[in-house]
Amino acid sequence: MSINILRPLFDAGKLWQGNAETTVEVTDTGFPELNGKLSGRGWPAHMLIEILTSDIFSAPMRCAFSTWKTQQDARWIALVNPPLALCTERLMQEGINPKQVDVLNIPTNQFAWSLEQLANAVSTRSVIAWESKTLTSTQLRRLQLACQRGQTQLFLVRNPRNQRQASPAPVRIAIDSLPTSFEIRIFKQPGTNAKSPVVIPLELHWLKTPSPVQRKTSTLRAQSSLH
Amino acid sequence: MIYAYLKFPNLLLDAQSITHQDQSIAIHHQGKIIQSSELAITAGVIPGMTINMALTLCPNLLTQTYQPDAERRLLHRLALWAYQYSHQVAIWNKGLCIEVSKSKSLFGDLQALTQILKQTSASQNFKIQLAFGYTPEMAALFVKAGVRPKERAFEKTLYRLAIDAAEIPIEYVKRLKNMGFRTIGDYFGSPSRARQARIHREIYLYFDAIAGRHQTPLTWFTPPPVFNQSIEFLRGLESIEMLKFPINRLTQDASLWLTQRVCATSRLRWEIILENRQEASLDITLNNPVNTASALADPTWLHIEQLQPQSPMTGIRLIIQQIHQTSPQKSDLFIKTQDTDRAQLLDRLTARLGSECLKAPCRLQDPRPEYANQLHDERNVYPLPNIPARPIWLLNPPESLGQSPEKAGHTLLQGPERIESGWWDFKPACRRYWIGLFQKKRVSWIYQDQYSKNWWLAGWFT
Repeated sequence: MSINILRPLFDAGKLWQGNAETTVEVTDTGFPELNGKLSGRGWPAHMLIEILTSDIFSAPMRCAFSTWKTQQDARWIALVNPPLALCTERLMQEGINPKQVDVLNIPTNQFAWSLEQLANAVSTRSVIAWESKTLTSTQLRRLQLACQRGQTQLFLVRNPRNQRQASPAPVRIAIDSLPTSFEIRIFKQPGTNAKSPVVIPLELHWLKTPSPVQRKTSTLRAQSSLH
Repeated sequence: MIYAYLKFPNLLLDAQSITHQDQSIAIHHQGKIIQSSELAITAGVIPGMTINMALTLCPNLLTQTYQPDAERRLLHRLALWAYQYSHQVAIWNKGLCIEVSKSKSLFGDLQALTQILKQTSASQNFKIQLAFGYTPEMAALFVKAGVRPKERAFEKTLYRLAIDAAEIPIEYVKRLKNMGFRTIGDYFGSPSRARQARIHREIYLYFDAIAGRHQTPLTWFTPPPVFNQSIEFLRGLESIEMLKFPINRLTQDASLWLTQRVCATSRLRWEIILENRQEASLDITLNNPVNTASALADPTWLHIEQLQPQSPMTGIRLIIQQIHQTSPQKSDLFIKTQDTDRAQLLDRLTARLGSECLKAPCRLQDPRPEYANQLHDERNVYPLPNIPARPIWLLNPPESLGQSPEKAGHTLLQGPERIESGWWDFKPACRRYWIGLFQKKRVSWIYQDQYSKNWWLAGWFT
């Protein structure tokens, strides 16, 4: 088959060759090391990105915050079924405008439908969703298509046991939390092979040297293990 | 002045929501057939025939009693539809009369206007016959005769029509024929004074009217101030799915009504009439006022889908009372319609999941973190003062750590940040917040209550 017939699909980023860099629109991850490992040097801006991790609290939010900070526009971002209550003040400290953020708590049976609606909407820029019940391959495929239609970036936080199962998500990463960092393994992405893991240190620069504490604690020992 | 007369050949069948395309069916009144479907006509059932005769000719004929109220409601609905083409619409002679001299200029010519009326009526599944004339009577006569002359040929065509075409009692037709009038042209060819002396005044005025020499006063239709339309079903519907078509039809009519008034609405009231004489009502509040049929139908459908009617549904009604003035939509080739898209997204989500599912993160002016950081329906974000770092996640309510954080696995790293507040609402807080390390893995936000001296886990940084 002549490649010219497939050219529109290549140009639209819907089809790619295994050994070629993709030209899809991306958003800066906020971590230069991670950008270097991703084809296109960032998270694809209009795709479903699977985050497989047992640390549902910290690592996915760090990824989302870092990329949301780097590229802000008039569109909205959404958190779907967050595991705990989001702190608005922290959102503001990260430089993200809370007026452009929605928080949704969705029943399990409506989860896929709601995500598709959000991904389909042109007004939505990015979504991070915590999977409550394992989505089927068809549902994931529909979400990917909705992301392309609505030009939405969707981070789907999933249980790491799903790693062995095939998924239509174009980007799949696994995150392991370490004491002072987290390790990201990109095991599926368009246009390139698997890369070596990236270690991202926890951003705790605001954690200063402890003030003279009244209580006798093992503070200093703990502090030294962090830095 | 130029008038269009619109006749609806299946008006009675349509008014009673009868599917007449593929069955032999007839409407009867006082023992006589007054309208029959195409299949029934093929079988020989024609208006004016007695029911017995009709049933003899077509044994499988279905018959329905004439319902004047349904006919009136449908004519009002059709008048509302016609109102978009002219501000002068009248329900007249079981049809619609529209003054089109200004619409003619707007749409180009009468031919173009005819095409538009035919196309839009076909899209609403209504068959129409129409013609133009200087008076409603002239236009109605052309419809009856099955001609649609151009404006310059009105008089010529009229004069050629047989005297039988006139909508007058048959005895007067006979009398006019006996006088030697074969065509309408013959009638107007005779001296006016002689006609006036020999013919009944009403008939004389009718002929003057069809020639455009006499104007019949018309009562012009005005759109109702409140939208209240219903559709009744001949048989009770048992499945919610079957409501899709009636809902689409009502929302299309509502959209038309709103557009004509340059308005939009954010509140809809649906009433579903059940067979056991009960009603199920559904009030829908939209996030933004809308006036398009799809924007009205989508959230409605998502709400109605969840209904479980106890008995078959015999009708559905849509009521719109609250309306807002809108300005015409500005369109720009280079700007994506994000606002509309977002409003529709919110409507769809809240319709299916309820308004509770969607919240906005707010920052209120309260030093206590649990009050400052809340999820609300309204977006309130007060500026952030210079405060120490806050965690990503908050625990609400906080988790008790007992008298010692170390025993609970938390090592104190940094602090304290003192928060003393809440004296005004009888929920005083006097706390010392610390950043801690939980089991050498996660960074926590804990505090000690200065009254009870107990420690609490308030949130997580990582």
